[in-house]
Amino acid sequence: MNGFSFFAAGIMVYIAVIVFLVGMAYQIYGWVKIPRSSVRLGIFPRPKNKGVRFFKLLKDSFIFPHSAEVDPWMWIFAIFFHFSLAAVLLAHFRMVREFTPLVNVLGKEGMEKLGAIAGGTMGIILLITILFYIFRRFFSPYKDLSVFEDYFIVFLLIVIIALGDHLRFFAKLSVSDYRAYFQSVLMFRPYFPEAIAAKGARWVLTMHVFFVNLFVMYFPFSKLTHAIGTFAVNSVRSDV
Amino acid sequence: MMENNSMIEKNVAQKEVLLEVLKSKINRQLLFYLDICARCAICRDACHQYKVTKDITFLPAYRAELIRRIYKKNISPFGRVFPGLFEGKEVDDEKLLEELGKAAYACTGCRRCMVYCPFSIDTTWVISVAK
Repeated sequence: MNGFSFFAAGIMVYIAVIVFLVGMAYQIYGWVKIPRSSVRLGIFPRPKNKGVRFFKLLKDSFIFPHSAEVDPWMWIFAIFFHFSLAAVLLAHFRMVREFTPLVNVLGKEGMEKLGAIAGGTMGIILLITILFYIFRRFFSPYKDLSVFEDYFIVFLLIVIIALGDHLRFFAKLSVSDYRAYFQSVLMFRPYFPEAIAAKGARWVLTMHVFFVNLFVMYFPFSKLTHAIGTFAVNSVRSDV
Repeated sequence: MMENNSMIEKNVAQKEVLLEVLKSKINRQLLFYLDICARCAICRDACHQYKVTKDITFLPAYRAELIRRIYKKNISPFGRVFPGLFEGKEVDDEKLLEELGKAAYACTGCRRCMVYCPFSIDTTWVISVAK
């Protein structure tokens, strides 16, 4: 690892995690310390019981079916984007520890094939949907509504996804190489294993991690907190 | 000179009063509404006024955005440090006040925007601050 790689793919990861945790705790404290409105802000019909209300909360937060009625295209792209993002995030845990039960079922080659096909598909879906997000903002009324933050977040995501796709399709690195790097970060001794250090793709990986760090650090202070806040506001919806 | 000074003092006092009003209206729900809107504008066709006139001032997300810009510039801890990220505005910004007046007086409080918003953001509640 040279100086920049050591900073961007090593030290900065720890800084990003600390900023994220402290920032998120500060943000949540900021929300919780302010008292709720004395007026109930929900809309009818009233859910029959707590179980129904909870199910409605999950449905509104994960599928938001009412939005599909007014803007079906945006809804389709949003659903594809968010579910692919969740799947990709989950798949990254393979770099912490191999999904052994899946390997037992599929075999080593089968697992690689699944990774290539599912990972590749998700990568392309993410790229298409994020490009839709940015192109949508080039037109009125979205253009007039957008602020700098909107473009900044989409820019970060485009770079992260494009670099991730590059690693998936062109880097020809095996998951065990990534795992060796990822575990070295977890052990507080970041380094690139031979297979990564010898290839030009180490720069792609470095920049991928660098932009992810920026994204993670910016998360608690931005509209990205909708990932957490959505549960609180959607529960207000059925508070009648 | 004296007249100028008293005008400036009056403006500063007015600005402080407006900010105090905004601060006094803040509750947990409002904070969530101000912090998490993704500006996706799915609420676009939820507002019958926007659907007919296509005037951006009547777009529910934009109506709430006017209050959000004041909040970011003056109250939000991160927004106060980097107001440019959110196009934060002073509470006495003339263009903003003009748009806010139009948006607040026209809103009928039907809450259709809340029904269709993926986060159930109640724009009526946000705009009630201006009302």
